[in-house]
Amino acid sequence: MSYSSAFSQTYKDHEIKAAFIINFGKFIEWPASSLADNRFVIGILGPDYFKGTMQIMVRNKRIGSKEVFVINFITTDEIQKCHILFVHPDMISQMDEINKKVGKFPTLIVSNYNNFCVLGGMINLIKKPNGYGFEINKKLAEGKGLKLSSWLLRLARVIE
Amino acid sequence: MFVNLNDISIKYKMMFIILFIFIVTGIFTTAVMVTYDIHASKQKMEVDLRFLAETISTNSWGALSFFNPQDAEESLKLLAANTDIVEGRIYDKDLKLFAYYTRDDNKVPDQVSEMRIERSVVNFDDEYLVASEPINYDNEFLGVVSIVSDMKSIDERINKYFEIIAIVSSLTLAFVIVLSLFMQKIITKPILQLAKTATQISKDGNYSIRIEDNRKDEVGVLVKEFNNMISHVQITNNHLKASKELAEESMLVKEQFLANMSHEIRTPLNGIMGLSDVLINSKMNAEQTGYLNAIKSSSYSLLVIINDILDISKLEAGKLVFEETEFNLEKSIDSVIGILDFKLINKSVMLTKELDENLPINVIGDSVRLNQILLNLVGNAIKFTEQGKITVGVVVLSKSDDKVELEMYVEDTGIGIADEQKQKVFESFTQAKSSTTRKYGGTGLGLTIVKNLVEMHGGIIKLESEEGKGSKFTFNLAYKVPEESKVRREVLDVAPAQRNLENVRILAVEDNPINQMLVKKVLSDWKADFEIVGDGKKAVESMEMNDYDIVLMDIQMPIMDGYTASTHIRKMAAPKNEVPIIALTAHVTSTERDKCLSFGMSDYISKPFKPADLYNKIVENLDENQKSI
Repeated sequence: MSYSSAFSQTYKDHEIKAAFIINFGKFIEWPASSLADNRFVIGILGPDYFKGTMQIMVRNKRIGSKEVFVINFITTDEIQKCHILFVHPDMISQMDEINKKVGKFPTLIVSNYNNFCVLGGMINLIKKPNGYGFEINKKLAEGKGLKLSSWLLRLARVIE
Repeated sequence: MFVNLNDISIKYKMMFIILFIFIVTGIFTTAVMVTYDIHASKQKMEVDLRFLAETISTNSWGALSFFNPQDAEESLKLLAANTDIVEGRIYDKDLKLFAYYTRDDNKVPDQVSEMRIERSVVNFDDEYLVASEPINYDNEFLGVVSIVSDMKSIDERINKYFEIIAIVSSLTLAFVIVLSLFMQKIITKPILQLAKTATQISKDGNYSIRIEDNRKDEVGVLVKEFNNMISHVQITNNHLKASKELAEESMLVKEQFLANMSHEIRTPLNGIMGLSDVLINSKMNAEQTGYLNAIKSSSYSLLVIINDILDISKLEAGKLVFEETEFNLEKSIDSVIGILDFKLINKSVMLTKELDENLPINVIGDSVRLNQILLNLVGNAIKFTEQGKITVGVVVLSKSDDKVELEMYVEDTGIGIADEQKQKVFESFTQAKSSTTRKYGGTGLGLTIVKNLVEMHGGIIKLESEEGKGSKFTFNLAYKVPEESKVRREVLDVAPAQRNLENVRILAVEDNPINQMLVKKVLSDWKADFEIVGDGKKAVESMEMNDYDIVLMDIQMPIMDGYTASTHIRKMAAPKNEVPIIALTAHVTSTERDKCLSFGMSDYISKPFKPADLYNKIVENLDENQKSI
């Protein structure tokens, strides 16, 4: 029995992806120091991949006790401290600059691009026969001090 | 079919009660236990279901957050571990079905599967339990998990329960039956023992038996009371026995007294009457003959009164025996008239007879008793009639070859009896009025004797009377009729002058000199060849030395009594031992007569006897003896 078709009918692809991004925030624990200002920031690099739905979806939503903010960075230069950074597939070529810009801040870098995790990404959204799944570069994420919940790992394809 | 409970043996009642208690207790206990077990099982199932729902809820956080129904279905597969669960569902936050689990394609009705957002456990018709749990993660509603469990395991558990109870009950039942068979004996055994003893007591009449049982229960009380009752019965029984013995003894004493009385009175009367006869037959002038007749009549009246008293005592004791001899009815009536005629001398009363022309000449019955009835009735009639007439009548009611039924009556024109007295006159010692007794005398026994005699013959006596005009006593009697060919015994009617015992050798044994005189007179008149001795011993000696044709034996004698003498004679060599012996005694009871016969005597005549009676007895016994020889 398949129910995923029902989701695809109800939700558009970018809506599902936006939900994934927000939910990562819920299943990953950030170091306390990064959350000192009581804000949880989601950054979107490049053109708005989610066509403004992310902003709508985080309205009145909290991750833990934190208020959620969405910031769109058009260029890598604009990148500020954020807990999750979604990299537009078109910007993958600038991964080095992005990493440099993020620096030591425990930012979860997410994208939707083939082999993203091999290319230095932490979570990559992937298309599956019945909807969407994700890959995680566990070493990389944990190296940044992020704690991945078992629920998340169970669903993910872990890339070493 | 309805069986009376009282007819069922206590054994079965006991078994029934024990089984009933056992079954009721069993059912009650089972019901309580089963109810409790169902309740407990449901509670446990609820707890299990809630725990499972919570677990699945937690396990579904990721799946719901990342739209992964496959993972949710994996989580639901946990439910397979619990065989009670037939369905599991996970709904997403939009309350759309997200993941589904079913066991064995179990069809759960829609209303059962209907989703509930709130945390709950709902029971459907005792058939399904539905646990619902909202899925929340990080303060966000993700969906609902809902698990349906059927109660088959509980049902199976209950079925198993009943199976076990059935087995245990059967075994216990068998045990209880066996046990109750033993138990009931504890109660029925002493009761049966009681019944057995009671039977024994009533069978043996031994009231000294007691049941030895000192138990203190209800049966013990029964046994104790039974023993008490038997004690009472024993005491009462002993009293009754003593009373009965006393009564019997008194009866014997009374009879003995009557016998003695009779002897003592009859002996002198015998003398008076006999010697009056002797004197009348000797040469006397008319005046002297008149006096002698008066003496004879007075003696006779006295004899009648004595006989009445003796008869009434015999009637009351039921000891009267009727003889069956052939007699001439008309002559019996004539003799009654002849006997009583002298009483009419100073009265203007005519005494006559009216006989049915169909009356048989001879009948078979008790002539003595008929005479007694007629003497009483006619005697009464004469007593209470001053003028007019008295009629003795016989009407033949029916007649066949061997039987005749007669109605006899004695009618007078006397003072009569008032209506209210009619029934009373038949009671003992009662006359119509006490003034009657003073005026007319009498014992008041006559009519009672008559009534008894008639009734003992199977007849009825009736009284019609009008005061001042007269009375009529009617009674019926049935007699046998002898065969025509049978020759009448002429000897019965032999006139005194023709009586002849020439060449008959007679030994008379009599101690009383007056009686000796009387015997001597009559036997001389009949020209018999006789010898008189004064006691039994002399009689035996005479018998040894001489030959006699007949012996007249007094009973009460000095030296040797009549019984002993008869016994000696019967032990002599033939033919002396076969000589007829006629007992002459004042003892007139039937006991006495039987006693005489038991000592070997041939016949019996009571004193005072009439010469004619003695003559007839002698002739009869001589005939009998010749026949037997």
